[in-house]
Amino acid sequence: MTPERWALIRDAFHRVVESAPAERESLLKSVCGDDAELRREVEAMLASDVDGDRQLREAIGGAVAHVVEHQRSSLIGSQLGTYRVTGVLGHGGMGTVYLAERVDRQFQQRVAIKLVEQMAVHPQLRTRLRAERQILANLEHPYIARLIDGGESEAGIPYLVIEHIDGMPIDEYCRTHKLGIRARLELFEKVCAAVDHAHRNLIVHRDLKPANILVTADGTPKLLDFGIAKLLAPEPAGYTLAVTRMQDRLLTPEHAAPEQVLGRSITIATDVYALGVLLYQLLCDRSPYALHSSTMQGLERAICSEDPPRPSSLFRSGRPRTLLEAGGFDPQVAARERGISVDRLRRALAGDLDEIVLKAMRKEPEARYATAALLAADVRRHLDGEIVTARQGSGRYRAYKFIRRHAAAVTIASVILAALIGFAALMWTQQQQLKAQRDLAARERDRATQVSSFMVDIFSSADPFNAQGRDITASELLDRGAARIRSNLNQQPEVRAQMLDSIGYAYQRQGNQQKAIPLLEESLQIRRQTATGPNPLLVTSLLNLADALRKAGNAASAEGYYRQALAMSRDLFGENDRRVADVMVGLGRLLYPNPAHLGEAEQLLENALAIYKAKLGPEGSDVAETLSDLGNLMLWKDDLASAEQYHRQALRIYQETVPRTHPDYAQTLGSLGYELVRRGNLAEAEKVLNEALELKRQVFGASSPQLSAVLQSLADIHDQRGELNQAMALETEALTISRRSAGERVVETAVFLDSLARLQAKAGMREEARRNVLAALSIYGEKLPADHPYIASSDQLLGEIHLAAGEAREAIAPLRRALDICVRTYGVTSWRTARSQSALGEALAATDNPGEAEPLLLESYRTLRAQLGNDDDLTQLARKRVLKFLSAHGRAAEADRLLASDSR
Amino acid sequence: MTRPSSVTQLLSDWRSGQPDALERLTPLVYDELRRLADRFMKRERPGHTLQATAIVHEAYERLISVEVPWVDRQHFFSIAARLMRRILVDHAKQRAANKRSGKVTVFELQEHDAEIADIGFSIVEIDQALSQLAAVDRRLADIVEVHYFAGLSVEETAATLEISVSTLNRELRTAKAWLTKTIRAAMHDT
Repeated sequence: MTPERWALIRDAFHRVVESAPAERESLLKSVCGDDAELRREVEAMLASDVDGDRQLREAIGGAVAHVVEHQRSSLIGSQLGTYRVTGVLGHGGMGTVYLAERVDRQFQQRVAIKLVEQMAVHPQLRTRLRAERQILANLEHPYIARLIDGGESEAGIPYLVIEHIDGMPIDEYCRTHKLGIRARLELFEKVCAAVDHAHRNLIVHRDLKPANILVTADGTPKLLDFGIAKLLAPEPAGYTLAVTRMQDRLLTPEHAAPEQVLGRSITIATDVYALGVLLYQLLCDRSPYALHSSTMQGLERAICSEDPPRPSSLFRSGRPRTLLEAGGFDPQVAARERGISVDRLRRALAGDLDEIVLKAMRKEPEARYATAALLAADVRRHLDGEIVTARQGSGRYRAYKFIRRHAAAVTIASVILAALIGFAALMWTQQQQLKAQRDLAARERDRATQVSSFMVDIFSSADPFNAQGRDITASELLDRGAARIRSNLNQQPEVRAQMLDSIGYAYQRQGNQQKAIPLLEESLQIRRQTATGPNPLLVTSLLNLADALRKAGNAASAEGYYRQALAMSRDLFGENDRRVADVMVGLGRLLYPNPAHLGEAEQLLENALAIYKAKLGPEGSDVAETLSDLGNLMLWKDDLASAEQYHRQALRIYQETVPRTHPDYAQTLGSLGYELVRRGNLAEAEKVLNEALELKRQVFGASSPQLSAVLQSLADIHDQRGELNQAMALETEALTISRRSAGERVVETAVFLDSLARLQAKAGMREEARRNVLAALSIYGEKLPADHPYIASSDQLLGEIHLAAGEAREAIAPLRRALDICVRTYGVTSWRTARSQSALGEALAATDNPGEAEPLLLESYRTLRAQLGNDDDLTQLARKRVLKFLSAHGRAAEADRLLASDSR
Repeated sequence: MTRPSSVTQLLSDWRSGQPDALERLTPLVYDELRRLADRFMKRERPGHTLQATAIVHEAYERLISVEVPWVDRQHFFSIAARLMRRILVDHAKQRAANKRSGKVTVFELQEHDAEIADIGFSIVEIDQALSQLAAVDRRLADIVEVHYFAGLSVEETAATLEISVSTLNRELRTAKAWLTKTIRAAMHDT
């Protein structure tokens, strides 16, 4: 057969095979024409076109089994220590288990020997294995097979000698003896007791499954194979982790817990999960993920993301559904074999046992039973007819799970949800107080229905549960919500205000102030119309709007709303209330960038921190957030060390209390990165900032303004390393994002324009630099008070750009403005003031005004030397300017003296 | 002990056009696959390709550092699939030779010959048919190799070979039909 011939056959086959059987004949004729050979080939292929690929798979699978078996059988007959290998018992995750007997004894002692073949590859692990062996040897329990001895084969492979158990796997035992549910549960309790005993000795089994739990003829369970049990103690070295992961990947996947599949840390909760799977199997005679086990990937995916069917749901009366049949499981047969009807079995499982199994098998380790003993206790409660703990709080668990599954979207969505729930509760309280119960209750129901149907609408119009597809993003969720509000004007005003507020707040948190502000304004307006006096909802509206305005750079309006909110909340709640602290934090944040109000801001934040600590404990999320704010404030005080300290404190709390994708965690990480850059710790800074960037991309999306600040700090790192092109690229990206999301003429964008200009000036791109800094100044002029330090900073830059271009005359005006602001803001001894003085001195010297120039140059040089030290770039620049001035005016001797005084 | 990074490095060398990288790479992957096969547990459903799948994935995890370019991942699975095929075929031929010379253990006879009787195709027949197919349609043979011998799922195979799932399904259907036809014909001939 030639490739050309094959192509002909293949194409003919494609055409014919996809047609309906009735058309095949005519199609064959037209496709093959009078090429009889071709027709024969295609017909033969059509005859072989069977569904499925059992034959291929079995041939390959069988061949694999042969390779595997071949190696194993070779040990039979050989001697290991004082034992002679007589057969193969089975195969475990770490190696093969052989049957052996002692050769140096008169009587026969049969043992099981487990060769830890994996150790051959990792010789470093031997010491560790010896230590573990010692601990396993001490693990004595009636339901655990004893470790007798251990050693190493001639080839250097370690082995363990274990009590040989003559029994059958627990699932098989239950089936053969047709045990009833009660007997199965009692057997299971014993297994739990053994596992719990091991846990108390800090040993996790990690591979609990029927094959590892043998039941002897007298009905005693014996746990085998603590061979891969690992101490709960910390890992001694990095490689162990890799090996551990590898071992776990070799587990029978049907029994593996999600954290094992994902390679996360293994704890006693992992065994609890496996016990859950075991209980499932004992109750149903089927494994929970039987339907997914055709490929390892499918199975792993199911373990990590799908809930197993409830045990009782497997035993529906009527015909088995096709899916179940596909799993090879027939409930009728399964029940009949146990001598019980499907209905009775279903009823026995429904309720307690369903819940117990599912609780043990939760995806999240922390949501399972905390110990095997607690699981056993719940089983006992069921047997004794008491209320099982698993049935409490499963609604809460479902909500929790929803949140875990859709972390990013839900971070935002849950904000809405929480607000709505809070709203409903508040309304309810208010209604109660009014005591017009009946009709109000009806209205309330109505309102609750409106709220919840609104939520349902938002969530269900796309299917966020679809694990296959892309998760719906938070922005989409919000846009959908906002659109729905606008299109539906029939809601009751309170409901409408609440929804506007919730979605506005979520936009605000997401950094989209342009969308947030109008929604929040409308919400405030409605509430002002409906409220008769001070009112908690008004405080919320004022605060949310103020926050959004602050973030949009509209400080003046924001301050007004904050102060209203502060006064009203103090009236309503007293001085030491959380809600007052919330307002204080917002106002504090607004004020601290303004040096004139920095003191007040610090006071507000300190007060808020004290309130939060008192009300929420030292690890509350608001505590962390406020610590983070104080860190930011310290940045404005130029107290980098304190800033770093506050931020690290905040991060520690976040790490303990929230998932990494929490927006505030990423935020604080970004701030810490900034400080580290400023403090010159570039290596750690880069690491921290890259993490922050990745998290923010995940949480906020790739074009969120949240990314800008991090990008800018990363740009700083490159700048400090002299990699100007990279720095400018990052800065430009930051600017683009800011323009798109925050807007063209807002302070934030201006800050990025200024930063980019700074880099461009450094790179000698004077024209671009000048254009950008002028653009920044124009925005500042519009949005900021005339003496804002941002303006000083940009004016300074503009002056320096002119100086560098030899345009001393043009430099004077901006430098005078900068100096003026600096003196008033930072005082005469600040390095910032000195920087302006030095530059202005240079400009004046160049424009024939030596009289004014000289004191500025000398004064600034002295200040910079005192504040920043001799080696700082700014000091060096100032010195150069002084020397240039002195030599230009023929005062070389003074210059020499100056140099001499430097070296002192 | 194989250093994980060296396999990654060799894959990258190979991609960048160093022809001897493949030669050095092959024994590393081969040894790893063999070693894994040797100590791999018997699955609950004997004779299922899940074992091959697990072995190849295991080798991947062990040999390849976390961050390899996609193209190297492709190469790895292609190489591993080919080697897995070779291991299985070599072993089957060795077994057959042993059997002819009477060198078969009791254990093997008891445990497995019953299984073989059920199995329609032998691995050697599949191998031969696949070689014939490769001679005229290399790509189709690759698809079969990666899907069955490396045990990648349909989706993974499609992604690895950068074709759509629907194309892959059509190609697999063709390959299966042709292989089945060819093996059946060979069985009748003997």
